Amino acid sequence: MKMKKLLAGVLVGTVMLGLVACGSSAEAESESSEAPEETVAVEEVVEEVAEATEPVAEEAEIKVGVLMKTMSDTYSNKLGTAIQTYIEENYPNATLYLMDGQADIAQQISQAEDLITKQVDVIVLNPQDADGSAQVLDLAATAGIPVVEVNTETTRTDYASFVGSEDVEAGEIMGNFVKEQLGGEGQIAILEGEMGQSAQIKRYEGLENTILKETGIECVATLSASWSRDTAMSTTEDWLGKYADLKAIICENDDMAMGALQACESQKREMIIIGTDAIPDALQAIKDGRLTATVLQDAEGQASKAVDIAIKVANGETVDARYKVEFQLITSDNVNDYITE
Amino acid sequence: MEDTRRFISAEFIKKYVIFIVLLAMWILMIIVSPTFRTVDNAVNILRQVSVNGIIAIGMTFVIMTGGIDLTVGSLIAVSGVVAGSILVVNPDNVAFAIIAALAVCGLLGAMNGFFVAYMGVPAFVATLAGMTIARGFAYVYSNGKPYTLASEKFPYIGKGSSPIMIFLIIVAVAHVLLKKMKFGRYIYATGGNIKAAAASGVKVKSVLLKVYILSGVLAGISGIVLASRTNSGQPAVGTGYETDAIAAAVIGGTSMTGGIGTIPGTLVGILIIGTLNNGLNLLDVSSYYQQIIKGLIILGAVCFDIRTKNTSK
Repeated sequence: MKMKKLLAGVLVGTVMLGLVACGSSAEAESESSEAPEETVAVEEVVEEVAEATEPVAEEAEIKVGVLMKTMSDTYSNKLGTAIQTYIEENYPNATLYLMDGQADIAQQISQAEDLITKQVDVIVLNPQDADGSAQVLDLAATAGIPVVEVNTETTRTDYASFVGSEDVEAGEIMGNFVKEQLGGEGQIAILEGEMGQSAQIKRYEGLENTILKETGIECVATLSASWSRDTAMSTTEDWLGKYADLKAIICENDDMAMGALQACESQKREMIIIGTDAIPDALQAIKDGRLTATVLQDAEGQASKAVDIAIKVANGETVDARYKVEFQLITSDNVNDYITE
Repeated sequence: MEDTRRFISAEFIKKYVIFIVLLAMWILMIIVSPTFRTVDNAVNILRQVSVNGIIAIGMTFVIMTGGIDLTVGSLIAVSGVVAGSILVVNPDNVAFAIIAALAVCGLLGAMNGFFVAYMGVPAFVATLAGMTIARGFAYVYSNGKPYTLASEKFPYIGKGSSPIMIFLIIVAVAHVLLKKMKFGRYIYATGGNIKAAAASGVKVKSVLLKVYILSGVLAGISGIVLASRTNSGQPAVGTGYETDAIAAAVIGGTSMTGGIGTIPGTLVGILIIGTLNNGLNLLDVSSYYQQIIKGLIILGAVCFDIRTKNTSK
């Protein structure tokens, strides 16, 4: 009995904390509790808080659940933050539940289950990986919740809509640019992202369509640095010793490009380095003449489009199956247009 | 006669097998890879192992007391974001950034030590909890966002030979601490037989606490070096680094039951891991195979450890 009281107390505390933290009109999750009296009390508290913070909006409240792959790589953080700000500024009647999947597929699936328990109206999914995250669509389908995929695609096609950029295009932009820079001949190396993720597969496909077809260009090494700066740095260090004639390193994201750049600079090697994402320090490095180029994946464009579409879907409006947000090449010529501060 | 010979060979294997493995790897790589023969590449390996090597030294101390420290990977992230947050605001205040980062890591290490030594929580459990707490702290503190550093001076810590110097100084100090100082003898005594140590007047709880603080601070130093190398403080960095540190200590002959271990052994252990990573990169072998091979080497090392111990009894 004592135990039950304690349990209920903890439950109340947790829910209260959650409410304070969100500061929103969230309804408590209907958890199966072993202490009915206490649960009632919880619900009363919830209602009071809910009334107090209810936004003055005529329209029905929309609950938008967002499953982010992670919030800790620079691009994902930009995307997640953009989604947050865009919703706050444009949809006062929407409640946002944003989950950070911490780059873990199991985490993302259980967060999807949590969102379903919260009975959100629509889920915006930023998939962890193409296959694993497809399971989120199954879970949502069972609960009758539509899913809008953003940035990355799963292997499934039964989503309500996909908002993103064609990663093949990013690969092609990188490939063509480096090909021109090299004048069609020379040694290159490729730093790949986490193997099996759709961004990795498609960006590489873009490279295959362009630079890897060139007979004059020799790709001497291709290794995965799992999107991360420190791995990219040590891999590049290993390469620099081995390939004295290496002219260019193509990186499937900017964090890896920054790692490669760090390695080349400390060994004083001239290198054409290109990444994708246009994260702030990559832009700064281009401005300073250190990094050659990056390809912009438009985080704000993706975020605003995804939110617009998600709200439409939640309201039962019909939407297109795909929305394309274009990539752009950024070099020292146009980098000033993209640095905001 | 027969017995003595077996005893000698067992002793010999036990002492030098790991050095022989490392030499064999080097000879093999020198034959197959021209790049491996260069001085630059040797410097690369040393620089790359320095981050993991520093935490492996702390790990060796902890394992020798019969414990384990799973928090080190998370502490690397904590150190990076704490230092990063200060350097973003004040790029010139490198000393303060480092001291603050090490203090926070030392404090989190003390938390581990407190629960292990004074609350009697098994080290695996206490530091497992510490690992997620520290990782969570890194995320909360940085709001999940990496700090991009623009400090002029800070990058020098991770540049050129400085990580190697830092690592080697730590190795030397740790070796002296363990072999020549009273504290080192206390660590051996505590790990060998905690009751006997306590009975003979060793303040075992205080020894344990200090060992975990030491491991925390070393993880902090490692985090500073990594942040400087990548020129950013990232909350997601260092995940899984504890496994390499444990592997290095174990390959180097540190006994998981405590009481046995040496710093040169761990140094060789981390060099084996570094040579593996570097060598397989040079041979363009996928990083997936590296993990399998690393696992096999750990198993091999521990099997030798057990066998040689049994034969020498």
